[in-house]
Amino acid sequence: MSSNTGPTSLPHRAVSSIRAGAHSTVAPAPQTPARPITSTLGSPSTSSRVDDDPIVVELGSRKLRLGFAGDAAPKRIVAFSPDQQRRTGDFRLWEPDFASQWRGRASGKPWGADHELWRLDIRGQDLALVGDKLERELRDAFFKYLLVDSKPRKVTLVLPPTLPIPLLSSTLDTIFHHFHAPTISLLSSPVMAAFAAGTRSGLIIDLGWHETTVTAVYEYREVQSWRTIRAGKLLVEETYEFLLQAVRGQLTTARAEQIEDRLRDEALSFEECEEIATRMLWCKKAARQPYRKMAEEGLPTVHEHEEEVEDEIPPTEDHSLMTITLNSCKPPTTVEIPFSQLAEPCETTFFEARLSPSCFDDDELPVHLLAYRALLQLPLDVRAICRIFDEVSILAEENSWDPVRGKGAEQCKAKSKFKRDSARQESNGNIPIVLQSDTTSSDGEAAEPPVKTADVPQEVDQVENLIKRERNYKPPVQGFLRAIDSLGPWCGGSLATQMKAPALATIDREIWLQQGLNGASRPSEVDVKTGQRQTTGLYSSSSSASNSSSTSSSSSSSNSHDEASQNQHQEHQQRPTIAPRPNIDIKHIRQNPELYEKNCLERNYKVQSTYPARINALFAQWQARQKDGRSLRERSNALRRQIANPATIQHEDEAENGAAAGSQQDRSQATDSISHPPGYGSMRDVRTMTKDELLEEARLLKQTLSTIEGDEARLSTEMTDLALAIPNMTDENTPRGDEPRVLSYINEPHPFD
Amino acid sequence: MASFTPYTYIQCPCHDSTVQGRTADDASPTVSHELNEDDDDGHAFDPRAQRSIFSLYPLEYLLYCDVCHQIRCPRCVSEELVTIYCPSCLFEVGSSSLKTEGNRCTRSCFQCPICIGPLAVQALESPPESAPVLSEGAGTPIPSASWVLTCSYCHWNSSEIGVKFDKPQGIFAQLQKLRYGEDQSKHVISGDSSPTKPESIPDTSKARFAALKSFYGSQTVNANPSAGLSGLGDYGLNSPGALTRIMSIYSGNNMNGLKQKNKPTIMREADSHNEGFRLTDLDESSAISQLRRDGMDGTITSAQAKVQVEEGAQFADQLWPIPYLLRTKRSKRCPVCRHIISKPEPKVSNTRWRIRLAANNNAIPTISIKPLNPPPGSGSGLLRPMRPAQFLLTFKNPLFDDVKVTLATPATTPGRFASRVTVLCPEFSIDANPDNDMYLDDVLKDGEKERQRQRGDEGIHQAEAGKIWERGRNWVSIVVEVVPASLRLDPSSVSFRTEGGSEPDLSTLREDEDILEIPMFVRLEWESEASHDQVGATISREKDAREKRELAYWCAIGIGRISQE
Repeated sequence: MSSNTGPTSLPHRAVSSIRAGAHSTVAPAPQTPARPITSTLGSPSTSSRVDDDPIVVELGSRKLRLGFAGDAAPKRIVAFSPDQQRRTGDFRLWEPDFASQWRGRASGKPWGADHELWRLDIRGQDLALVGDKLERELRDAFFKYLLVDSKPRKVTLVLPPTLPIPLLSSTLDTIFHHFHAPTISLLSSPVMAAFAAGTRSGLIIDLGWHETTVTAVYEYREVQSWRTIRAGKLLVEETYEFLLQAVRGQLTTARAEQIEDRLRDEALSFEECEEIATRMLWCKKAARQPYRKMAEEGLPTVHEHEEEVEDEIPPTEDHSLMTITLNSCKPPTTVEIPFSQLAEPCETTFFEARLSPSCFDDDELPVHLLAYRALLQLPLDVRAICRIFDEVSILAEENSWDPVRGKGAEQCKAKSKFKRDSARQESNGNIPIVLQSDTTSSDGEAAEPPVKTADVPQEVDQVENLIKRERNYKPPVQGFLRAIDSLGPWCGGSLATQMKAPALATIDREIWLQQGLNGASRPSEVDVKTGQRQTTGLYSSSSSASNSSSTSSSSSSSNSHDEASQNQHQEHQQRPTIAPRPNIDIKHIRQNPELYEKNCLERNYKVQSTYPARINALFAQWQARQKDGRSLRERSNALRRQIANPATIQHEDEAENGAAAGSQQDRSQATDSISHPPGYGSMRDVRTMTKDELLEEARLLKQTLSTIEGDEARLSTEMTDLALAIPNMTDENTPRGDEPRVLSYINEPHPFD
Repeated sequence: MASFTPYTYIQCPCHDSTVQGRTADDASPTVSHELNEDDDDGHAFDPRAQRSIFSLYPLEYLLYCDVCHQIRCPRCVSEELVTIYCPSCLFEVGSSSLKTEGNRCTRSCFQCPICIGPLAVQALESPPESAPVLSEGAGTPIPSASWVLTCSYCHWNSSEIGVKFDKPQGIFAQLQKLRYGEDQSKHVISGDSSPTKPESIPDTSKARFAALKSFYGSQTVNANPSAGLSGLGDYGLNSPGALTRIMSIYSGNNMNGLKQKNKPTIMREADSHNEGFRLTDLDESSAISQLRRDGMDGTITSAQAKVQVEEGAQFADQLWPIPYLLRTKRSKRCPVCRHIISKPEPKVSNTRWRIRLAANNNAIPTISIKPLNPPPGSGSGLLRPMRPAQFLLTFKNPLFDDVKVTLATPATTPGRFASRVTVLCPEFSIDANPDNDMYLDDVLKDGEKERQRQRGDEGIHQAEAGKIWERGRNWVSIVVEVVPASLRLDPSSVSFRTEGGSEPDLSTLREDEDILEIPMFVRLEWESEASHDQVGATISREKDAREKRELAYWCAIGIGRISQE
């Protein structure tokens, strides 16, 4: 999420065009994503609809939410746990000393791995196992909670913004194979969160399990998302350290850095840490008043609701001891921790205020900084809407960042609304964890996410600007930063599905079974949305035509691997019929080979960098073929005409020939000297030849021509393939090269600089 | 822990098909996939592999389709609802009311939110003696609500969360009312028509959801109905809106079409409370102070949170009684031939089955395991590493035909600790399960068996390769010899297996790794009467025609726990 990697997720242009296509709801089209169910006359379909309510499934790495479309809340929320991964008929769970033997169970696996459905790093992960786990949970939920039978039902999946394609593929496979769903629609969870908040745009911060994502949603489209590993998992680990310190009796802020063996006697189990994280931790309020005031002065428009300061007895000062009983260590102990200390893990995990902002790696920015950065970068991406982003950057320099945010955003009308959704849990990780003490945030609930509380002044930013909405009954809200409560992605999904809003992508079972079996994840068709992860290579060239193409440099390094492999598949696999046709401006490539080559090199596409040259070479060959073929074709035409209609009057012929030659001239490059091709001379011969001779010659010509045409076809497909593999032009705003260039510092520069 | 019961798990063959489906994913080049492909070749079944957790079942869980002659596990049957009922009051619920009322019992059955014990309705103080008299006036609820739900196990009662009921019946409805305020339908204000009472929408997510739903509904209606339809393909052909659409298609550029072009309507955003829009209250100080006040005991455990109907509870006073989840009886069909292989009695109170083709009665021999020479005193019951031990596997044939059994096991068990396994008699046949009519025969055979057993007791009987140990009416015992591996994490040890020359995995002993579990491939062959029902008249003429059947599957046999010395 540094500026180097750049915006990782702006979908390729081609992808966005797909979105605009038949299946996307989330399409830019500003009109109603939904179709009135209660349409004009009260549709008779209501009764029948009940029967085939689609099932809405929200997937996360920790939790699964299931329910029928149109329900206000999921019927079943599954948290993955090792208990679900036992053999059927293994009832050890109920043995009295089961809980105390967690060490044996936990050994040999990454900490807490049993509680996750998947890890985002799919290397070495058994995808079939993921499918199995998922299948068991889904089956359980379907039969025990949804009480449905095995009848096929439509399924709507609400997916986190960046789900690796293999995982998605495994998921789809499971659902299609075991539950025979006729179609699966995919929705994106940030968009659904926005939908459930009743807004069209916003900045959605999703504190997930594996990572926290900040996603800008504009007009029901994901514009861009940023992520950081400061999420639920880190929080639980932080809690572990914290509790361990407490057990040892040294409540210091200094931590032991090394990872220790987590199975020792004094160690705590994952379950217990998570439980305490959910129950006891809390989060401090913003500490930096001064900024806030500045912001207010500078920007009267900014409303800061959250900000009222209301500390009667600041919880931070409260040193009364809280008693926590720990059972999973040997022997069980009770620790007493001052209440104020309990905010520590949360603070460290999400905000880490002690360290200077310049010392974070790209993937571990504190949440508030990330949100801030997201807002700053946003305008770039949405430049179509905002032309003013220069100003923004100027502003950025001039003002302290708080105002910048507000203003920039405002002016650009970038919309980021900020909804921080409490739903945070859900997304990637669906973390059950709640962040704060208070916590458990559920998404839907009124419970305000504690985090917010916590959020530092910057929260302000989170808030949002609404964008123009055009036809409103009420004046649009603009330029405000608001924190909006969302019902959560599941509810959004439920709503959207019930309204029959078209999904981001809809996958048909038949197609999946055909294409999916050999080409498993065919991201191209499977999910358009994950297009983000998908390589530019696939559709690359569609946008390459424009130099100024606005595609962001989408591929971060992690993606590039996928891309390469996908490209390979692409070569021998038939594109699905429903995939959009790639439309590439090869001419542009031919005319600017250096440009493309440079671009490839800059993006570390070594192999592809030779393609422009090869394309030119191929093109030369192709042209040569064309040239060779032309005279033969003419001759062949003449023969054909003669054979078909020997009585043709001569001057008609000539006229035709002349016209043909003329048009050829137009077509051909000036260099062609074929105004009167050799065939023209022999044309008279044609008339003198006997029928047999004609036939014989025509036969010969046909053979030669067919080889030439074969060559031509081969060359042109090869060119197309090469052109497809060339990455898009890099956006001019993307930093080039591997030398980082400091744009500015947030807060003070790094001490070592 | 010390006690160990030998067990048998059977792998349903359906697992193969799913594997194939998956390995076809070429887009997922993970290592494990390659491994799976190896599995498909049929040799390395590893009961320890994580995936086999999902395909192994105890025999009792399996069904058998007697038309396809295939084992059917819970994963590979298709189910149909027969009855939906509340497990607490056994009241039967119609599937239509399931749609409207949800999946919980809507009468008075509740579970305790603390301990999930059943809750009972109890009068709080003295029952309101005047209540029956007063209650005629519909609008005058008895002011002193005096019924509560109490848990007889942990003594929780609903007054702890401030919930009391006016009357002891219809608790569910009363609770809904208390929890979500008035009837929700009132809040579904259609459209954005002026917010009459913005405050009227309570902050429950349900009400917000309803508000949002109606908001979106109204938006999409207002934003010309046909525009919404245009992109939506096949939806709603049965609705009047479709007419409009079709009209607009055929009438060309009529007014409607023009209007759409000129002014694309935009759905606006919700922005009032009434429309389900809500700013978040970022002030969590009340929650924090509550946490401060109540401490750990005031918060709920994750187990408690999990059973709550709605997410989001944090403190003990946010726990609501849990209405019982409805349960179903379902019949099962073979997914291939659609034959019913299990069908319960539809009546709730009747626990019997009309049809049930359980695998253990219809195809698969049960396997029971016991040590051949039980150690006297049966000390720890653990297997001692590197000491050969012999076990008796007894196969019992449920079929009315003789069955020929072939067994195969890998020479060493898979996993890090390779114990050696020898099946002394891998091929044998078991006599048919005698009909009840043949009582006399049974008795005679029993006598024979008795004699055999006596012979065995003399101790002369030696386990011998290629010979079965003992045979009875419809059962056969064979001997399996195992040499348990040593559980020491010592790469130099013979029984410690290092995978493919890579670093030996020296991590500590995992759960159940000390159990000696034998993967065993069982192949059954028998001849039975051709099934007439399915094949039709032609074959049924030759009644004596025998049909050869076979069935093969993997099973995992847990023999015992190896002691860690």
